[in-house]
Amino acid sequence: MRSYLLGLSLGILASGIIGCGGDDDKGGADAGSTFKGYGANEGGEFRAEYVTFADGTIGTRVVSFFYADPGPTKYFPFPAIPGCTDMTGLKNWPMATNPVAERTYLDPGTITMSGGAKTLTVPRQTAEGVDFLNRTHSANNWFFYFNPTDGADYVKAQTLQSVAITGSDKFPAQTFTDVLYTPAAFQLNAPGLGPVAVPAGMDQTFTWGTPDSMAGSMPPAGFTIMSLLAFSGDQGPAVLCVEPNDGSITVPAAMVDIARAKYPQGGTLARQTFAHNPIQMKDSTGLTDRRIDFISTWCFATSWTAP
Amino acid sequence: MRIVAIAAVTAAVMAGVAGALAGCGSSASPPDAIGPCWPDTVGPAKGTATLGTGRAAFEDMPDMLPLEYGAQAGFDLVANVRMSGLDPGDPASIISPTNPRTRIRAFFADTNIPLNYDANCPFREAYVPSATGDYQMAMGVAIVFEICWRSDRLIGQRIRVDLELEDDTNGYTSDSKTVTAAAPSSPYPIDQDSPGCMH
Repeated sequence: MRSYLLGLSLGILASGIIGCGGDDDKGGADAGSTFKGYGANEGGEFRAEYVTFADGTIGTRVVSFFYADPGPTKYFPFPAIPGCTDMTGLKNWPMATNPVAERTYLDPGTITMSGGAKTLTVPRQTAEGVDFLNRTHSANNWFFYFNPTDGADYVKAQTLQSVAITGSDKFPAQTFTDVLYTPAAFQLNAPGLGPVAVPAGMDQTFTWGTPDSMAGSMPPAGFTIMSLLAFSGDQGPAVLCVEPNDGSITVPAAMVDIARAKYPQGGTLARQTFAHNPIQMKDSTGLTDRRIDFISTWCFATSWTAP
Repeated sequence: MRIVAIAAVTAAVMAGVAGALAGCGSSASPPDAIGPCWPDTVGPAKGTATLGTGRAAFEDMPDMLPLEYGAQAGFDLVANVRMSGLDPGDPASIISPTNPRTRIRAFFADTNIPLNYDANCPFREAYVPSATGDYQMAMGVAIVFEICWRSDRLIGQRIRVDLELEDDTNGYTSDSKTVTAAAPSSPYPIDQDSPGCMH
């Protein structure tokens, strides 16, 4: 059985988000109860990205970690969907976390991602570090891979891919079959790959193609393709906009100004489509009330400036 | 010709950004929802500020400063600021009008050419108490260069980094440090004969 059948649609997610702000413990799957999908408490993440950079090179970026306990706050609300969210306060998933000292990680053993041209073993990070969403992880408890030129090797568009862990005493070996689906390759319409000047006090509209909506190119059942735009920088996204993928996102002027206040020298403009698949976590005690977020993304990472 | 030296870039570097400046004292940028980019006239001298580096905490600025290569496909340097005697602002809100304005810009020291032609505006985040009893940035910030500045134009060059800080009472202070740009500790594209930025 494909594990993504446990997921809910992002449409359901969106309505759930609005109603649960500030609720820091969603509870969940006690014996006999139903897994809450996007509404379940956090159990970790596997995120794979196919990234096209401004110079046309293509890379793979992967991050993963798993929690035995995410800390005192078990559930951080999702960003607004549809809409734009100020991420600078670190109140929303995926950037919000409890302090690293208050989190307990699970050891997954070795993590591999298959289904692309090659199988990727995601390197364990042996030093404390900060991932690209500005989340600090303790040494040996996070996995990260980045290669700016091997995008065609590991992440494949319009393809189901699987993730496997070899496990440990508290987190048994398991394979998450067909848990990732990467959206179709799309083209930027306007603006293109070059640096994008983002003036203060003005709405900004971005457009791109939507091949996932073409006949014969629809995602498999259980997956919904969403679009995302982020004004990002060295401390992660300042503003995150997420909508159903209709080929256009307009960022309101107020959000533009927040991005400029955070990154007055500009930064990285992320334009992407993605599929997000929450899977019920199973540890050595059996099924838990926590979710693992599996996310696969087709992304352009270019630069923006703040004139 | 460009040779891409690959492999994993560290997560912190990954998230790297874009970068800084224009002519000294210029304030051509339009106002935003939280006030003007930079005042035409700075206020009276107030407090002190020290320009340093360091991501997690303030560190003294070294003579040789490794650059970062970020996801914007360009280079940046990490700056941090320790200050006292000025209003630190409200760490809970980046759009609080009480937050100070911290403008940090980088220039080639020998020519005064800015490393980010467009960047005139300040960081608007508040400061947090430091272990030494004054205030510092909550995290170091990337001073991002235009992506047309490639490795062959940067590594080994002397870069002047200028700090200006103004609080909500218009109290003003500044600092400046000159460093030699060192190669990033993580992989980055190695360029040769790049034209540099032209404005």
